[in-house]
Parts: sequence; C-alpha cells; structure tokens
Amino acid sequence: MKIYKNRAFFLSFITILALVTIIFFSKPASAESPKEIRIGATVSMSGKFSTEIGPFKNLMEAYATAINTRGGIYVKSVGKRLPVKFIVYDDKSDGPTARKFYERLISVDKADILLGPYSSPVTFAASVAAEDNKVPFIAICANSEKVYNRGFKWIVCVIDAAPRYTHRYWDMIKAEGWAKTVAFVVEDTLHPQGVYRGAKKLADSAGLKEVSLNVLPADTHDFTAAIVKIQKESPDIVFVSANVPFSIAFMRQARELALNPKEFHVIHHGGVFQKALGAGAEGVVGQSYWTQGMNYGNPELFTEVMKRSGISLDDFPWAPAYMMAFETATQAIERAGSLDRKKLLTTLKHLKVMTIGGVVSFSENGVGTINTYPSQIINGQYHIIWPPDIATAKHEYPGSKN
Amino acid sequence: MKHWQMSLSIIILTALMLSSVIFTKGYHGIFVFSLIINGTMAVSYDIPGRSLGLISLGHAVFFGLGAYCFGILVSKGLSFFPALFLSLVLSVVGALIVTLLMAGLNHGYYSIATLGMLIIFQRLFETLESITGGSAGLYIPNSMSKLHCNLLAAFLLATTVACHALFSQSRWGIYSKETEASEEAAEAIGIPTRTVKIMCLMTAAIPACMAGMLHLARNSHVSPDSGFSLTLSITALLASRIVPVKGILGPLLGVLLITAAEEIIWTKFEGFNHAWFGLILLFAALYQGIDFKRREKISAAAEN
Amino acid sequence: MLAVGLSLAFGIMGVLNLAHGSLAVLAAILYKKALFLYPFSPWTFCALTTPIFLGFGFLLHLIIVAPFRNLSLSSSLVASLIASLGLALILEDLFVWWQGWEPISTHVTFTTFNVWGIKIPGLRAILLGMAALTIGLSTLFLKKTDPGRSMRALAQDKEAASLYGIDPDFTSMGALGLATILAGIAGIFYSSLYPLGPREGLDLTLKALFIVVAGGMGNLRGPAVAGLILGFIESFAAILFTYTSTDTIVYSLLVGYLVLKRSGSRQ
Repeated sequence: MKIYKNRAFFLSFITILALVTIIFFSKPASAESPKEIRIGATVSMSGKFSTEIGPFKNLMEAYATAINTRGGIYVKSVGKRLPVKFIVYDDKSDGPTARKFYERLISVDKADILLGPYSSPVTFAASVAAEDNKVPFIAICANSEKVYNRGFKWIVCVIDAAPRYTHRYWDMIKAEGWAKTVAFVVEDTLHPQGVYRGAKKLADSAGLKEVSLNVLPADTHDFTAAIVKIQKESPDIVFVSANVPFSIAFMRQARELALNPKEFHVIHHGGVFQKALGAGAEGVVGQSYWTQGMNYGNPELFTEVMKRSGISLDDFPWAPAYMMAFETATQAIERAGSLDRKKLLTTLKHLKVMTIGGVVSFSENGVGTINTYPSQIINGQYHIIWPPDIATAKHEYPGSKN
Repeated sequence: MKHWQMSLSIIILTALMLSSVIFTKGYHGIFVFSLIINGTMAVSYDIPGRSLGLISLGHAVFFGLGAYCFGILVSKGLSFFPALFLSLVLSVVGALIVTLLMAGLNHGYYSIATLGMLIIFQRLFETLESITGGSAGLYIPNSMSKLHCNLLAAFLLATTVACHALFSQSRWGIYSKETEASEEAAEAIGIPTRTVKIMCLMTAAIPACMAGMLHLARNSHVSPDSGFSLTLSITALLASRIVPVKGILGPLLGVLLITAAEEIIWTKFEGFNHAWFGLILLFAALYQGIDFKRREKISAAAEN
Repeated sequence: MLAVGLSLAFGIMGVLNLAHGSLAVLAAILYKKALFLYPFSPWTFCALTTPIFLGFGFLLHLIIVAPFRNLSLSSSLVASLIASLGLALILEDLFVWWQGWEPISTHVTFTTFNVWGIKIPGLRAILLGMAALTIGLSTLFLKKTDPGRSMRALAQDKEAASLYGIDPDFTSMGALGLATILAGIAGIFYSSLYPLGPREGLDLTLKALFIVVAGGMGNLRGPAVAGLILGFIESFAAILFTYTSTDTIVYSLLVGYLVLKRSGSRQ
C-alpha cells in the first residue's frame, strides 16, 4: 500500500514539476530595446516532409552567421546594426503542431517576423497563428491558392501561386511547337493539384490537347493502370505533378514498362530523384528556382550560405526559395527601419526587392512573383533551358538536334 | 478508487480548470487547451481500455467525426450552438455505426480494425473535397471566444472524468470487467456482452466527438490528417497506460506526463527529439514490467 | 515479406512490434553503406546479414518481450506496444544522424522481360521470386524442424506447449529472430524498388499490420497470400474505379472482412 502511494505521489510530483517548468519557464522574452532581430520559423525535421526539408534549420543558421559576420541588419529606429537570430522548432510535418509553435514563437519568443513552414497544408494551419496575433508571416514553399484566398492580411508568399508554377515551361513548349498532346499524372495533395490546374490551362493555351488525366493518392506504389492508360494515348509529353517520392516511384515503373513519350516533365526532379533513377532520369525536364550562372541578386552570398550549411543544391532544389525569403525579410526590416510589426507589414506589402531568383513583390492577397524555370537533366547535370537569356543549355527534345 | 487518488484527481482537475481561465491566449492558452483535450481523449480512451481490455488505434475517428460535422455545419452558415448540438447528434450517430461494426472484435483484431477505420475516414474525407475541403481541410473563422472554448473544454474533461468514474462503479462497469475476463463465461451467466461493449464504447466515443468539435472551434482548422490522426490515437493510448495507476488518476497523470515531456523535449532540446521521447516511453514500459515482477515477489514473500 | 515477419511476432508472442518496419529501414541503410564497399546483389547481402539480424532479433526480445512475459494479455500487448514504439522513435533519429535525411535507394535497373507480349519488370520479378523462396524456406522451417514446430505449438497454446517441455522464452526468442531476418530481407528488397525514408519505419509497420490480420496471425502463408490478394484488389480498383478511391475500397474490404470473419469468435 505504501509503495503504491509513494509511487503515485512521486509520479504526480514529477509531472506537476514538469508542467510548472513549461508554464513558468516559458517566460516571454524581453520586448524592451531589442538586442537582436528574432526571426521565427518551423522546419519539418520529422514526419512526411522531413526527407525534403529536414536539414533546413542549418540553412537558416548559416544565413544568420553570414549576415552577422557582415555586421547584421541596420534598424533605423534603434540606430544601429542588430544581429539576426533564427528561432526554429520542429513542426513534425503537422499543421496543428506548427500552429502551436508559431503561437510560441509569437507570445514566448517574441519573434519580430515569421517565416513559413514547408508545404501548403502545414502553412494553411500555421498562418492562422500569425493572422490572429497580427505578425508578418512570409510563406515560402506554400503556393496553393487556398492558403491565400481566406482574406488573411498578415501573410505574404515569396513564390507565385501554384497554377503559374510551370508557366515558363509552357511558354517554351509553345515557342518550340513540336508537342501536340499531353498526359497528366497528379498526386492528390494541395500543391500538385494546384500546379496541375494551372498547367492544364497553360497547356491548352500552348495548343496542346490533354489526352489523359490520372489523379492518384500520395502513397501510390503501383502505377500500372495509369501507365497502361497513358501508353494507349501515346502523348508527346507526360506531365507529372507530384512531390519527390511519388515522382520517383512513378518514373521507375514508367521506365520498367517502357512508357516512352517524347518528354517527361516532373515538377520536382532534384538530386534525390536523379540518384534514385540513375540513367532513368536522363532528359527529364522539371522546375528549378536557381542554377549556377544565374546573376540576379547576390549569388555569392547564396553560395556561401549553402556551403556553410552543408546542404547540396541538387538534393534540395527549393533552398533558393528559402534564400529569397531570407533576403525579403532582411530588406523588409532594413527598409521599414523598425521592428514594429505594423510597419514591417506595410513595408512588405509594398516591397520590390531583387533576390537571387529575381524581383520579389506581392499582390493584394500576398502571393509573390518568383517562379521556377524549366530545367533539364542533361548528361547527369541540371541545366536551365528557358528563357534563352538565362538558359545554361539548350532544351533537348526529339528533333532538337536537327 | 482510494480516497487519496480521488483527492489527487480532483486537485489536478481543479488546476486544469483554473488554468483554462487564466491562460487563454498565446502559446500558454493553446498548451493548456491541448492538455485538456488530450486529457479528455485519454480518459475517454481509458473507459473501454481498462474495462474491456480493448486497445484501440482509431480513437481519433470519433474526434475527427465531431470536428468535421461541426465544421461542415458552421461553413454552411449555422451559428455556434445550433451547429454544436446538431453536430453532436450527427457524430454520435456516426460513432454508433462505427461502434456497432467494431463491437464483435477483440484483442489484436479490434486494434487493427480500428486502425483501418481511421484510415478509411482519412481517405474518404480527403476525397470528398466539395464537402470537407479535401486534404487542405476546413477553415472556419473563430466562432467562439478563446475563454469560452477553454471553459467548455474544461467542463467536458470534468464530465468525462465523472462518466469514467460512474461507469466503472455502475452495473455496466462490472459487466465490462466480467466480459473482459471471459466473454463466454459472462454470456453464460446472462450478461449481454455485445450490449455491454456497445455501451462502453459509446461512453468513450461521445466525449471524443465533443473534443473534436471544441478543437475546431478553438483552432479554426481541421484536416483529414489532423482530425483522423494516428498520433492523437496513440497519444490517448500512451496517456491512458503509461502511468501504472488504476482509475481516473492514471490517464490524468499520463496526459500531464506525455504532454509535459513532449513540450520540454521539443522546445528545450536541440536535436534527437524523437529519441529522447522514445527513451521515456521505453523506460515507462520497462518500468511496468519490472514493477510487476517486484510486486509478484512481494506478494509471494507475503504469502510465505 | 514484412507482414510475414510481423505475423510471427504477433501470433506467437502476442507482441505488437512497432519497431518492425524500423528494422527494415536499418537493413536498407546497411545495404546502402555496403554498396560503397562492394556491389553486392540484394540476395547475396541478405544471405550475409542473416546472422546479424538474428542477433538483432534476440536483442529485441530482451527489450520488448522478456520484461512483459508475466503480465496479462492486454497489459503485455500495451507494454510491448509502448516499448516498441519508443524503440522505433529512437531508431528513427539514429538513422537520420547516421545516414542523413535523404531517402535510401539502392538499385537502379529497368531491365524488362517480355513474356508472351506481357512486360515483366526484371528486378521486381527476381525479388518476387526471392521473396517466395524465402517464405517457402521459412514455412519449411516452421513445419519440418523442431524449433519451427515449437514455435507453432507456442502460437496455438502457450500453456500446453510449456507442459510439453517447450521453453517459451527460448522459442519466442527464435521466432523474433526469424521475424527480424524477414524484416531485414524485406528492407533490402524494398529499397531496391522504392526510395525508403529514414523515418518511414513506423509507416511500413502499420501497412504490414493489415496484411497480417487479414491473413491470420501466427502463420506465414496467410499474410503472404493476403498481401498478394490485396495487391490485386488495389490494382483492379484503380482500373475499375479511380486511384483516389483505391485506399478507401481496400481498407473497407479489409475491415469488412475482419468484422465478418472475427465477429462471433472470441479472438
């Protein structure tokens, strides 16, 4: 009897002590006379998005180090340069967890500005915290229109909406004129669906006819039915709108079953995709934010940050989008001259800033202007193939070498 | 339940109710609210878990049903209280259908079938985009103040605790124990085992449905992943069983321990968060095994 | 393959081993690392690592079975579930630390056999054959050898088996060792076909659980056949209906089957 009582009391003591620790030691940071600029963010270090974004806390810290070695960011209201500090939590690829940590970033860590999590579904939930508490929120890799059509005032996004994600690719196809038909394979999640909706219209404007549409769940492993359907139609282009794991599984089976359109377009075809498919990835066209040789903004700073973080651009081709968000936040703070949230938001909404991916500005609902460029895997290397003024190689397609 | 256990449970409940009034906004507000909702899920989980020995991996089915019924009705224009009432009715009907299907199963088969139900609902709600918003989920603007949400949640937890206590003391609670011990023997002595199971499971399902509704009212967003969440089901299971104390004190302490451990690990530790949390689970489970052996030795020694 | 190993653990010891999929991921990582040293084929590497995974199985027994053997059925199920979940979470973080964030993918070949006009992907066909062989050998082991018969006896009735002089601890250790070997083989084969994330262990386990219960616990052929049948249903559902409804149909059939098969029984 005594043993039971002691054990239960001991356990109760431990748990209550733990709770008290959380509640009373999560004291809000001091808000007087800022000594540093606090940028809050979550990264999916676990859960389904961890293979795509897991190490990005290193990227943020590398950027902070790079800026701080250059003296920090000048804030006019304080009259001096302040160092940047990223406060980052693991959102477990989960919306409610992200929301909870953004609330913490706002109320406990007193973040001056927030960077969004990875993916539209998680951003959809997390941005509610920023809107409720009126804190500027810069979304990054979250371009589903649903995120921006809720009338939120405090959210902006560096990249353009999903339907315009591949517009440069379709501009190229229209200019080249060789393709007449397209088959779509779409992963049934927010971002790929949004990209597909736009791609369908853009393909139509480019004069292509949609001959097959296959919408599949995210964890599909057997694509036989879809591949057989597509083979019957013999499309010129097979357009795969999906995240990386889905794309790899589809392409592998497509190669095995000898599905041979004139071109495969896979919207996310980074290094992980190429490593998984080897020679099977050769010639595949996808979308990239940046490549060596592009001269917008400060590419040297980006190269330094990537090197410091230990992240490979090929393996994580959305790293440039994060860099653009960092640059946008930095410029917003400098131009606002203050860490006041309202001033930051007003500055953001009217911002026009050159970043490594081009000019970033925002529309009324917060959607940005950065778009991807079509890039092709040629002899194992990634090359931007359109528009001609920044292309690093020529697009290889049937008949292109004649 | 012993007096000191009852007193401790009341202290914990009172502390949670007071916290729900004091901490309404910001991170602390969300933390306290999550604690209360997880507590409701854990205590409701414990009802069939303890009485019938049924290990459900799909307790979040009821949570998701409640959240989505409420969300769909509010998005169609119903105001808060009518939506709450109607969604309670609808989600209870849904829960009854699920319960009727599951009531014939036991042990591992019950666990797997509940997991299957969870995945079925997840996929179904992803597919019915026009009604449920698809994989993006439903967003409803704040339909109630945070203070009122917190108070309702605290009241729900208190009610669930009372239901748990009353159920285990009642005739149905005793029937459940007999059913768990041996279903055949229980039937032989005239206990309607299927009815007992359904009663027990519905007593657990109703608070879970309401927890889902309040979760959506407070957080404004639900998706198939977050509503029909395996993590939520497993958290309820862990909270219900991790502290080896019987009665309502076990799940209450369990939810405090799990939630506190998670928050400390994810906010104070740099890296290896899952590993630290996994170590806690491992030690908690091993402790139960070691403690059982120690108690066996003590009772064997006492007999001698 | 994964389901077959899980079936052994679940059926014989009543243990829900949520770390089962993590062992498959471990095997995939070991294979990937080994490929830097020498271009092992998947089946050669499986043969080489069998003793290692047998050892892992014994170690696993010490953590998730032995401490709970005297608890009641329900309590031991919960305790082993919590312990194995804890272990799975620890392994997840260790895998990321060891091998990095990117998914594990070990083989790239698109050789296809053409049989009477039907295209059969080469690697998949070979791995299917290897899987069938492994299951066949394991079934023979269970049927024809003394340790195998002991495992089957333990699965049927633990008390009666003990009365016949079968050591439940030693036998269940052997069963878990065999289950772990099967998990290792499954991981090596899986990573040859699909990229496997270092944190995907739990997901793999949960998918395998369904097949286990559909096919029956404690035997090898049931889950293997159930897995094949489910695969066919998935493929045909995708053709007849839409891909997005496939999961709903498959899981509904599975749950429906469970409800019909098991209701009225006391299991």
